[in-house]
Amino acid sequence: MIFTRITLAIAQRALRELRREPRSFVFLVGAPALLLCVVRYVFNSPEEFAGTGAMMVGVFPAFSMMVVGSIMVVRERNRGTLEAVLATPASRLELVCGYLAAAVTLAFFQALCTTAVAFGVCDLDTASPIWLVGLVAMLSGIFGMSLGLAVSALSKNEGEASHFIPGAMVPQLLISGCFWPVAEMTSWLRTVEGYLPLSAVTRSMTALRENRFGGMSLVYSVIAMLAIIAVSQVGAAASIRRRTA
Amino acid sequence: MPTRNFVHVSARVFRELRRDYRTMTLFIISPALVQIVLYGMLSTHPNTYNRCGLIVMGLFPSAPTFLFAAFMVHRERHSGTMEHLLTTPVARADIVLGYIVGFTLPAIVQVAISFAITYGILGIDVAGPWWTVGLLAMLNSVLGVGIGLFATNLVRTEFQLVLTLPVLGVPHLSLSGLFRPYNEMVGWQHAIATFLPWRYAVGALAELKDHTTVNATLLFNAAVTAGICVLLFTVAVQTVFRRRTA
Repeated sequence: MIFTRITLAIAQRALRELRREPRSFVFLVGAPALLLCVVRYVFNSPEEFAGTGAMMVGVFPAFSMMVVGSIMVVRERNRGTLEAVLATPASRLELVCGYLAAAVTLAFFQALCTTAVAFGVCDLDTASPIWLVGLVAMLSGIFGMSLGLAVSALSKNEGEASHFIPGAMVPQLLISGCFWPVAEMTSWLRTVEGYLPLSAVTRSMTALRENRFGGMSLVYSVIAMLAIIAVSQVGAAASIRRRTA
Repeated sequence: MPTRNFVHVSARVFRELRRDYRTMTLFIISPALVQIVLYGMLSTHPNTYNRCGLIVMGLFPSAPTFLFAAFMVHRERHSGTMEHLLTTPVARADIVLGYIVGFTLPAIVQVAISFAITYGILGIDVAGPWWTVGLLAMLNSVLGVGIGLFATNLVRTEFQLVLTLPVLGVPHLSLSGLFRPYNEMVGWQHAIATFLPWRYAVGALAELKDHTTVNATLLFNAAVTAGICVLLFTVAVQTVFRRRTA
């Protein structure tokens, strides 16, 4: 019984709150597409753009969801919103599923917007069909939200959560191949690349670009993303508890 | 005109930063870390590494000072610290100068570590003298404070401040000339880049890759960067350091 009325109510509440804050809504849905356009014109032609561009279709949604997710969860925990929800008859499972449902909804619109701009405006060309790219972009968004949950567990306040952008996300962006092909990096850095969470996103997007329907590389990356999503959701469900009596 | 009061203001800012271990650690080690990663990425292409390593070495100090200044000043504006400060007989110029010194003081340590690693261990090979790169790096850390102070005018909450980071940072960096030299950009990119502070910072640094001496292009770009700093601080004096109540 995942889709109970309580789950839906929690998801609706989270979405409504986000909608009332237009900046974060625009940031989530519009920013990935906008940044994609900026990056497109750093390159001369669509062909040169394809390698980086395909990765960005996954990376930008993951990045923006991580930022918004981590800070929203930290804020709700510190302000007592989570406490208030836990005082209602909602179970922890329903609470986590509610937030997940909200994340899935957002990721859907985000992926729709990003993929449309990538193929329509930026002339991205991939071997795989558009719907599959969109689907993986959506998964990347949910994956980013899960990373955000993990970040929120490690931060006391919003400022600390924001440190993860320069401290953890920027190095990951550099290493996972967004700026420079991984194949040309030195061997120790390639070893590091293999263990970075964000590599799952870039690898699956590269697989989608190179092979029709991605091949085994896509399957591995998607399994890795799903596993990390599952672990962070279970971890969140286990660790959410009332602090006060 | 600033008086010696700015020393007290900067001492207070510095003391507050020092107590925040986590931010401080990130601040001190992040440029060195980025240099090591960059070396790992580009070491098979020495020419590319020398160019990007140089620019990142000189430009990166503006990122942590931006973060420091933006978050701290935003918090102080909204938690009332700024109000308290403005009720004292300290001039606004003192406060601004105090903040600049307080935030850029740790940047000296950071730049020193980053330079020691990049020149000593990673062996970057650039024509320009190291102290010129160092001066530009310090100038850019001051620029970071200026952009940070300015950014607090655009947001209401800390959350919005975080959102502006990628939205302003990515296009700014894309058009700054790090990835694509200014001369190779097309018309509309030139038009936007003309108004980007980092375009001048990058322009000054890029000159040092092939030139052993300080030339006119470098001086021009450095002067524009300094001018932008002055402009940003003038705006900050008028907007950030102002009493809201009473």
